[in-house]
Amino acid sequence: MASIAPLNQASRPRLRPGIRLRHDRSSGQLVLLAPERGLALNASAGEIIQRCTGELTVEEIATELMHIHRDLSLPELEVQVMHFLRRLMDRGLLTMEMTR
Amino acid sequence: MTTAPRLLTLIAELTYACPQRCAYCSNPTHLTRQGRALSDEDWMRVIDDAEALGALQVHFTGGEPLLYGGLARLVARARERELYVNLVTSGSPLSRRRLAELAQAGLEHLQLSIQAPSHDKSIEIAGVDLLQQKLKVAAWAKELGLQLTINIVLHRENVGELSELLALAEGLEPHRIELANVQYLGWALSNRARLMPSREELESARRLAAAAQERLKGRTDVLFVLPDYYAERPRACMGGWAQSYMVVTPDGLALPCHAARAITGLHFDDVRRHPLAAIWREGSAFQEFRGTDWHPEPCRSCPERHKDFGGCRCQAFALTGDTRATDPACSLSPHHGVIREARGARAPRGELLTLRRAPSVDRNLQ
Ligand code: SF4
Ligand code: SF4
Repeated sequence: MASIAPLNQASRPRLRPGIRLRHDRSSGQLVLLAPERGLALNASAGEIIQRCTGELTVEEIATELMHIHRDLSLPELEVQVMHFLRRLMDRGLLTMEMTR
Repeated sequence: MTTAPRLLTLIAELTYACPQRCAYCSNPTHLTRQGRALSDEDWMRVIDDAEALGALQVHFTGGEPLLYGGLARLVARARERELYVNLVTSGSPLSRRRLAELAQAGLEHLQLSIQAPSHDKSIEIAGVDLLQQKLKVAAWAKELGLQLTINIVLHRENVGELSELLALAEGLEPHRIELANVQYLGWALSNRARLMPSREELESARRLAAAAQERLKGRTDVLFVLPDYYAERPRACMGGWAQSYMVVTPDGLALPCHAARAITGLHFDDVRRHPLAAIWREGSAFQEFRGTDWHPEPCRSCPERHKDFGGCRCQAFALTGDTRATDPACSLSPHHGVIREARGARAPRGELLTLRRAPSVDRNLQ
């Protein structure tokens, strides 16, 4: 297996192959599709995961989300984003693109 | 609290034909009473309608779904409809080229079964040894970027070899290893005295699974569930009868569960005759045991009923003759004695013949 870059402000999260986002017909919410589970995402989780394309860094994702979470500073938001991403990584749904 | 039923998963049994003949096969034990097979077009409509009803994923299974010629077309259709596409397979017959085609068409997750770590054991369990082929298929799946689950059905004939099986599975670097236990319905019920592990065997399997979970953390998920014969409470049948699954058989019957076809006295609708939505909402087999209102005692007054829905209907029917009965796997069932007896009635090794399905007659089978 390729070595996996660590999770920090500069890492670029990407959904693993075979993990996919779609809209749920009945709720309109985003769901994360993976083997044997569909995870319904609340709005802020959806905002984060939609940006996990391997293009943006954690810092860039957090910056883009500043307008939704006006009560948080950028460092605070980064911490929250990383905390959430860590959980997805632990469940094998997310990987980090090596810094280019 | 129960949530409203919602179709989430379509299980498409494309054919009953299979290169393997596992002693615990969940296909019907009477294959003769079958109607005309669904066509590609029928399946496409089933896929479209299931998605329109809210389904998020489809499992192509069988028998062996690779023996269905139009598989790639159905995979493509399902993916077009944004369904998550799973293939549940023995891995044969399959070339790398065909797997690449399936991946190209939209396949996302391959669930590959492995029966035993050795040639002789594979033959004993599945009637054929496909192990080398399976190892190749697993490697291709990884190369092609598919999610890979290795599924191992545990029973007395292989539970003693679980370390070897785990080592074999780990070497394939799958995303998940699923240690399933035999469900004693269909062929497995006929072979129960041969397949039933002892409590000690299960306990050591559980320990090995827990160690593997620890060892593989962050790389491979390892799943292990205690079989209901040794749990005091039943399994919720497919998350509850007609709550989130629909099975469609090769000949077009819509079932609330794989094994339901064996229940006499239920009527199953043909997907060619009725819209899928009508079958899901009003079909008599789906309505019959949906929710908890139909429960007799002891379930009726039991707080567990919203969790396990009174257990498995197929098992209740198979073991008591009464489809409405509480699942005997529950220690509160008046029939629980049959479960206790079955744990004790394990045949001495090598003494029982294994009953299995006849070899598949299928022109696709080389
Ligand atoms: S009734 Fe039993 S066999 Fe049928 S789906 Fe439920 S658990 Fe499975
Ligand atoms: S009595 Fe019925 S509801 Fe209660 S645990 Fe047993 S099967 Fe479940």
